[in-house]
Amino acid sequence: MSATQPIATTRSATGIATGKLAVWWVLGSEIVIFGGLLASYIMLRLFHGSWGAEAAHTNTVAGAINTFVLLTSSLFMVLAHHAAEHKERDKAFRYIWMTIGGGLIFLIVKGIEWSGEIAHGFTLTKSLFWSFYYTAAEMKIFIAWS
Amino acid sequence: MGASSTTSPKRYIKIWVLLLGLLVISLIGPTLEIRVVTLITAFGIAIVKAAIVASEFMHLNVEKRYIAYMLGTMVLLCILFYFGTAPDIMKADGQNWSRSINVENVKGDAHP
Repeated sequence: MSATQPIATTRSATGIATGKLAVWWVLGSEIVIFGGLLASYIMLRLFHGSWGAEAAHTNTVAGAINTFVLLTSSLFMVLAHHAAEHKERDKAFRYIWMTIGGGLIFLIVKGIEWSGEIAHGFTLTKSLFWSFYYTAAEMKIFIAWS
Repeated sequence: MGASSTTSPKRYIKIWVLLLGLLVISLIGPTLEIRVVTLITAFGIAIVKAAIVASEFMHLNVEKRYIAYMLGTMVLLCILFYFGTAPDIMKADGQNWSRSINVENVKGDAHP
């Protein structure tokens, strides 16, 4: 019996690798998920002044650190992709491990940030702002994990 | 199959530096406490950053057009779904309707 390759790697109607197209579909679906969430956040933030006051209790430094970590992790990932395209296996693995490290740093910083906010009473059920705040971050972590 | 990027690592690092610069601007802008500046720097720059990451890091600029069309369709659907239902949520009444539920009596934080 000869081994056959899966259809996902051998057939393409669009000229794009099927696996790559599937990943883009997933990313496209995330546009709808997060787009709705963020659009709701923006509208409520604009029309309810109390949201601005609640947002003042968030940790801007932790948010800035996490954004820096995410941007740097995405740089490492694209460098890993470049190394893989040029058959530089060891370099590609090294960059992927650095990306994973960035993800762990993100989780640690997020844990410290949330611990402080929860200790001050800013929990998921305190107000709609904080429900948005925790839900959006949790969804981002869950989708990134999956 | 698909597009392969010939971008050099130096370009990726330049894009990363640009993104960090935009991050700094988006952090400084809201501290001025001017509404328009906050909107532009916090939300506007976030959209610009997302577009740059999608274009340069995710290689959308070299992918086939189907991908961009698909993503654009998702954005349009998102806009349609949201703004099609938002007025019912954001407003208490309209030309031919009014909200029958008294939101002050609804348990929980009805008014954020």
